[in-house]
Amino acid sequence: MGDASTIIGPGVRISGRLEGAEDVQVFGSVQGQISLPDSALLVEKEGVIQAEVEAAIVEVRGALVGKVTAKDCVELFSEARVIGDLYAPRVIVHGGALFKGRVEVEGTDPEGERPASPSRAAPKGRTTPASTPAAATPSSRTPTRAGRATPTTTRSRTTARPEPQPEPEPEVALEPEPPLPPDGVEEKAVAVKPKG
Amino acid sequence: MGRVREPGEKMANTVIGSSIVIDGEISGEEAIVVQGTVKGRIAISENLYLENSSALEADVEANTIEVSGSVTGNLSAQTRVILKADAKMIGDVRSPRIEIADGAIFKGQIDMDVER
Repeated sequence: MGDASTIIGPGVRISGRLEGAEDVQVFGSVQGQISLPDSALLVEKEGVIQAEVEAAIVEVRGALVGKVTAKDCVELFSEARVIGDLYAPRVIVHGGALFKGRVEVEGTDPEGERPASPSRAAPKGRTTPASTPAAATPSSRTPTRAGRATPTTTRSRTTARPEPQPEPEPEVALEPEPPLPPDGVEEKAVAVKPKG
Repeated sequence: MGRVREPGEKMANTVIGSSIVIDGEISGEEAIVVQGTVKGRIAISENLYLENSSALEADVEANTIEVSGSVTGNLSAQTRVILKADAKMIGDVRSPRIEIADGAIFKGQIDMDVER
């Protein structure tokens, strides 16, 4: 995967549809559609992608706007700036990466996993206070995202390699459900505690 | 890549590999090597190298255009067009200089009366 046979240099812009069966490394800009079903798309630091992306592996160190569907794995490195939805069996977000959008880790089929979305879509709306400029919001959100993505990843790895991993389960149980409605409820709960 | 670079020639950073199909437009300020398929348009200010495995259905503008693959479309070069021995080209060429190697297949018009 290291040596991509196709390289889009920093001074090159492509608009339209790009498809193929080899790894593509982007330093320039690509707009439109990218389809590399069995290969990797590597978006380098200078790279800018505005496209619907379908690939086996997607690694982002640059900017990406659009829907990303990966057969294997999406990895956002610390320099990544991504707006869009990620669908992949494995999603990895490194600290420092900026991300805004939906993540669905369980399946590669966007339509297949709807039930998961409400609980995730809700906190997203909550974290976007009155549409503040993008720069401020994602950075504050990133830790939450990274924290959420990592346990889920570990979980899907567990499916592949059935080693007993007790930790992710309680973490997941603690994290996702309560934070949303509780806003009001939490205070009540806190108020209840002193009484009891 | 099997291509001899002229001294001082910039190395191409951009390579469109042989399995790649691009349908759309490529533009930029950088030399490009094409081994795959491009449909649409290419407009760059640097040199364009179309290698054996390449297939173009596109109109092309570049500084120098070197053709070893097959091209259907019009070529417009600021400096020169080179049709190598394995080139198969259907379309018009507009360039102040043109080279056609023995063995190259070409059908189209050539216009060298380019104001520069």
